[in-house]
Amino acid sequence: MAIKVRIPTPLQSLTERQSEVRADGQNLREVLADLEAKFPGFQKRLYDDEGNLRRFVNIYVNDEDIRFLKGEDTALSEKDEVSIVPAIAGGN
Amino acid sequence: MKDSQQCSNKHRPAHVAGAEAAGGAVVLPSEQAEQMREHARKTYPEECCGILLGRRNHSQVICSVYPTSNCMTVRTHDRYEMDPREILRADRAAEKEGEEILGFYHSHPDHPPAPSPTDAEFAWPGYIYLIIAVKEGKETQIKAWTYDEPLKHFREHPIKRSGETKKTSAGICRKPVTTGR
Repeated sequence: MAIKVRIPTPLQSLTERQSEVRADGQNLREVLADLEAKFPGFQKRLYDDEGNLRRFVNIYVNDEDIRFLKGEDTALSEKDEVSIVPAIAGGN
Repeated sequence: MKDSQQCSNKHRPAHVAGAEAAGGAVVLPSEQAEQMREHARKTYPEECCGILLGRRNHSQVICSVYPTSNCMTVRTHDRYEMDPREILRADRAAEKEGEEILGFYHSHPDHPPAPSPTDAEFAWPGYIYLIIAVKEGKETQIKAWTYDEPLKHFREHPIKRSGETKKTSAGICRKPVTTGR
């Protein structure tokens, strides 16, 4: 099942500059694994050394942060859209 | 969100890899610059932040700015954090217009418009970071930066006012546009 995934600019170097790709999977974990298989390098950008999703990366399924769903176990259907949204912060 | 006819609808060339690879200059229409300056003055002495939407061709052309709220509940005078839902909404709005998120802006109240160690800690490659210095809530100065991830430092980019460029080819906003927010 192909799921639409929105890719932010900093990660488009991995997707040949595509801002939107499709990845297969029944849940988010499978989709992210397929993303890595199709575009190697994603895993390192999305996960830390312990295998947890990085704090500076937000992942949304439609309008909901996966932290408020079932995380990587969130089930997906073809109508769903996954968005990778970088955390933006700073200050002087 | 804006009148899409006011920007060229030519898509960026595939070889352009991001802000660093696009020739350096950031084209900033004066109306968008003033919108950010006003945002920075209004929120002084706290930091403001927002999203830059536009097109990437030969230059980075900012077509609209999208002010957002600072999500920080403490240290708002020297820290900012954006609500990712606002970034998501801006991304969708930009996509409809054939634009993209080019980067972000934030203010430095009573500090220079240069990236801080905190800015570096959260920086992503490929985005333009506009920093607006606000002195005593009045004088403002804007500088543009991108983050070089391998070298772990920011690089300054020249800012061209859209009225100052003679170019009318793809990628130049023909006249300033606003977000309508």
